Amino acid sequence: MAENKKDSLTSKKELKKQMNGRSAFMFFLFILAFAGLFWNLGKIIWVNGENFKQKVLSQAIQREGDAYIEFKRGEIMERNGIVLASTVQVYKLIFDAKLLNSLGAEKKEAVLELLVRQQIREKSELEKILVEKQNYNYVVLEQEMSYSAFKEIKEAIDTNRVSGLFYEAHNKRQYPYPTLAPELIGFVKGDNVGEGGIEEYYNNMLIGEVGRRYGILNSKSIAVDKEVAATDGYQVMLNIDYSIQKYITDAMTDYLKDHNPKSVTIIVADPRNMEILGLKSFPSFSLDSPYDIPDLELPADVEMVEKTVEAIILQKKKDLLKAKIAKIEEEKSKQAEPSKTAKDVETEKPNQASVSQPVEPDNSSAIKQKDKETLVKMPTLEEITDEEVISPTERASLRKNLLLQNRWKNIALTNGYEPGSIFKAITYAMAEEENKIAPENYYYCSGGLQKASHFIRCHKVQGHGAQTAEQGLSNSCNVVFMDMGEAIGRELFYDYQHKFGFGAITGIDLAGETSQRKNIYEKKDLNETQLATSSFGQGFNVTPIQMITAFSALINGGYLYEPHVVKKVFDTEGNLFEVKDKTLIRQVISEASSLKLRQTLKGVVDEGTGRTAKIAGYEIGGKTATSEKQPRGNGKYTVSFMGFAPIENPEVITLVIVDEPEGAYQDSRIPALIFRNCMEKIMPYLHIFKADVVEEQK
Amino acid sequence: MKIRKKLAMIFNQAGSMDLSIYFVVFFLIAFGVIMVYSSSFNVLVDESGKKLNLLSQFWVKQMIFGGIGLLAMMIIPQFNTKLMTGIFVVLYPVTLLLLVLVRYFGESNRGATRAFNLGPVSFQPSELTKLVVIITLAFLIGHWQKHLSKTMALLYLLIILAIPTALVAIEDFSTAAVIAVIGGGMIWISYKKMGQTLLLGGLGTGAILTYFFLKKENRSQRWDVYASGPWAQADGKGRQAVQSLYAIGSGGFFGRGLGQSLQKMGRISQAHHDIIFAIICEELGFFGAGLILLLYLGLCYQLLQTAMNTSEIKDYLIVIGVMIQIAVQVIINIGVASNVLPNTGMPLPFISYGGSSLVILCVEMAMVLGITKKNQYNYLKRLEQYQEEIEITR
Repeated sequence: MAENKKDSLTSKKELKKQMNGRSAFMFFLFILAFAGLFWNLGKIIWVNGENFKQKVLSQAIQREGDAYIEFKRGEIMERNGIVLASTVQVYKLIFDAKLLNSLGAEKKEAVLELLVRQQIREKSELEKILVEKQNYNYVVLEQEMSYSAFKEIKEAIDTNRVSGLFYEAHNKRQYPYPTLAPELIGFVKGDNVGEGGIEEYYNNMLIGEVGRRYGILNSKSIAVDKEVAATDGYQVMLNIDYSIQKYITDAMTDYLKDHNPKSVTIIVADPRNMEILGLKSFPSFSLDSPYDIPDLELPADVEMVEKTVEAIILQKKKDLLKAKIAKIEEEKSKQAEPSKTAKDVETEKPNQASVSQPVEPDNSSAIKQKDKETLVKMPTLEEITDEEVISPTERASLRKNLLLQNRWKNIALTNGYEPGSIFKAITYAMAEEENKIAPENYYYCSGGLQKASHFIRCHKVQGHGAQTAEQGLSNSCNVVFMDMGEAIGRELFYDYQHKFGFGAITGIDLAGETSQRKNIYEKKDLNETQLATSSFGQGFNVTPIQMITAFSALINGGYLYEPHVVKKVFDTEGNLFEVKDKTLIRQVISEASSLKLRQTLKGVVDEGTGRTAKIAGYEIGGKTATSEKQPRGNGKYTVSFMGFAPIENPEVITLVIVDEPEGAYQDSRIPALIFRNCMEKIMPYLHIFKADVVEEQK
Repeated sequence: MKIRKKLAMIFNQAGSMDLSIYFVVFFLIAFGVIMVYSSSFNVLVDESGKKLNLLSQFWVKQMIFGGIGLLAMMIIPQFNTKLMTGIFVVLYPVTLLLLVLVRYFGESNRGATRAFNLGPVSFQPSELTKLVVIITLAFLIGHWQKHLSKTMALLYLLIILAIPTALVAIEDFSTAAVIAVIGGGMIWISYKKMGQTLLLGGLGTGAILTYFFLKKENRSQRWDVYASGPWAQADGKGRQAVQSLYAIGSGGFFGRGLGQSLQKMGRISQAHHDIIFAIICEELGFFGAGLILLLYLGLCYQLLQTAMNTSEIKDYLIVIGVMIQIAVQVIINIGVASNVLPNTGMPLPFISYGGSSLVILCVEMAMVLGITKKNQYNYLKRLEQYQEEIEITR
């Protein structure tokens, strides 16, 4: 028994010895681990200490998330104060399903009930979300809620501190009338960058300054919020009149109902100061969805865009070819270098070569061989496939982008067209001003005129016969104006063309205007034929805005004004900041010439080609134009009508251009009719009265 | 005589406990309360924005739990260690039951269901598991001390360890790892064939841990963050790790001063919990953090000494188990704070906020203190014997 006990005692002693050894070893491991951690801490502090200190300080004074305060982009109003573009705060409602699931049933129920009451979702749907997205903290319930719809939920979140729901507020640009004047107003891209129209041109006015919310450390090292409020953008008031814009929109829509032209442009302006009262074009888009245009793939647009895409691809191919050739040449020169050193060894030989002339044929064959090599190696343009320079997806997106760009642009500012007969009024004015109008019965139209090597026809093949200048304008006779152009002469014609503002931008305050400088004859190119065609408005391009600006100068007493869309700018507080007054560029013709022109143009509407535009009781002047598009003879026309009223002191001028009208007759009666539909409403609206009495006296 | 015997069964033998251990723990708890107060400075409001009343502020709760713990550390050592051991061994099946129940009746928090909600406090059975596993294993090993070279004994012990470990691992991977290390360490120290222990234990825990590691999406995500380095996602998933490093680094050698942490102001979430060490570094610097580390090491050394002085294998292993737990938790906690280890929630013993953890640790320390008392009694008795022997030889 004692033996046994002693035995167990010794075994216990042995066990203890083993345990002592192993625990001591374990403790040793702990010491190592502690030392390692200690070392690591020291390393962090030693290596990154200063850096981290800076980080911590900068973090402490900068609060998360709300460092910047958005400004409100300025409003755009039409001339009577109707808001066309405004910025509103919208709310993104976010649902924290994970948090909500972890809360008690009572709180959960309260949130669900609130959402159901506000008609955000059905209760069953919410419960489904809670199950399906139970691990998500960020489930977006609503992207953009207006303040009025969000008010109650906001209150619940802000003051009652409802858990499981939160929101993010951000600004959104809103266009109450998205299709009223999309090209003219433009829209806002991503980070408050205007695209097109007023939004782009006046971007600097419309944007404000972002505010900042930041922290500073107070004496107790506690970060305290400091706020610099955002400055809202300036507001812009346009010359555009909502009603006029509506009238021209209606007239255009009316026409488009059963016609399918390539494009239509209508511009209404006040000729006395060139305030743009209305501007509308087709095809157009909606400001609500500028990237999502249902009729984007119009055949004409697609054709043009495809051409551009091809050109871009060709350019890319050329660049690639250049790069490839350069690379091959580089390699060749590298290969040539070692052989060069071999040649260097043979430097003694040239002497012998020059002495022994007959080696020549051998030499030339060597060159030929070299040439061959290069010929074989050089890649050609045809070898490069489309895929090498552009992937199908890239190509598709390029195409889409170009199509969109094409649609967003304001064709009244960017598209050049041949003005055609409307320009005859300009030529007339030049002749009138320079006293180059021939006496009565000078002009005789026999259906055309030989100019240099070309026989240029009048639109009336049998000829208009003998005419006065006024009749020539009224009949829109090409021959009369060819004669007039010849009388004016190259120098003066060119000068006047530019004095009227053709070939230069008008300076309108909208983005993207083109000058068409390259599409108008230089003085040195203006030979006999070109002068003749230019005299009746063909062979050069103008933009619609250039045309209406020049024509306004023609009828308003000769004053060329800068067209402008913005009337007033108001600052953040609503105080008047700037008034955009009329800007006179120059006087082109005299008051007397202008008066003469107005009367003559009245005749065009009263008994000439513009009869369709006549509105009973009103004194209207105007001019029609039908120009065949290049290449001539393809049966495609641009028809337009320019009209104004009243004659005595024009208050409104309207240009209607229809490009490639489809249908049985493609002449200026189409735009004249549209003009008439517009003016029937615009004139009473502008208080332009009927002049029945005057009419009867005549 | 009979009454005395009965009393002896209930109360511990005369002798005083090791006050140095008591004071180290006391200091750590007091320091913990201060640090919890400091680091929860900006969470004095509840979810709905109301200011918390005094009783529900973290530092007050921590102080109350600390008081309970310190009291337990005075009372429990007075009772017979054998009796207390028995009580906790009986608790083993109860703990298993609680671990199962917590999955169904527990309160879920931050994606894990780990605790029972008991009104103002919550109770984590996984913390109790640590205590129960230590004592149960120590008891069984002490009981089977003659069979400690038999493979069957090893298998039994591993099974006893594996069941609670697996149950904890379902919800809390890192705590399960700690339990596995504690139990594994205890078995390794006592089981005679080291090779077998390492092989079987390694295989078993390895298999269980890999299974649970792979199972939860959340965990492997954390692992990804760790593997790719926190800087790759400094504003996302790696945020806590990066901010913790900022705190440590910005503290420098002497810190910003007690209560001066900037990182606790919302940069480090739940700073009073697991990342409290980073705040200690920021406020007290390398120097202060180093002192705390040394204190832990000293405590462990004291525990090692205590273990070596015990007369019973069971007591020996209880003390060693507690030592392993403290050391491993410190290593994991600081490793996480300094981004040596992937992010996981591991309380810093005695300092991190958490009632269950603190009270259970105190009970463990109380067991240790009871053992020190016994040790001293034995020492005195041996001294007496020795003196008697000397006198006899004289």
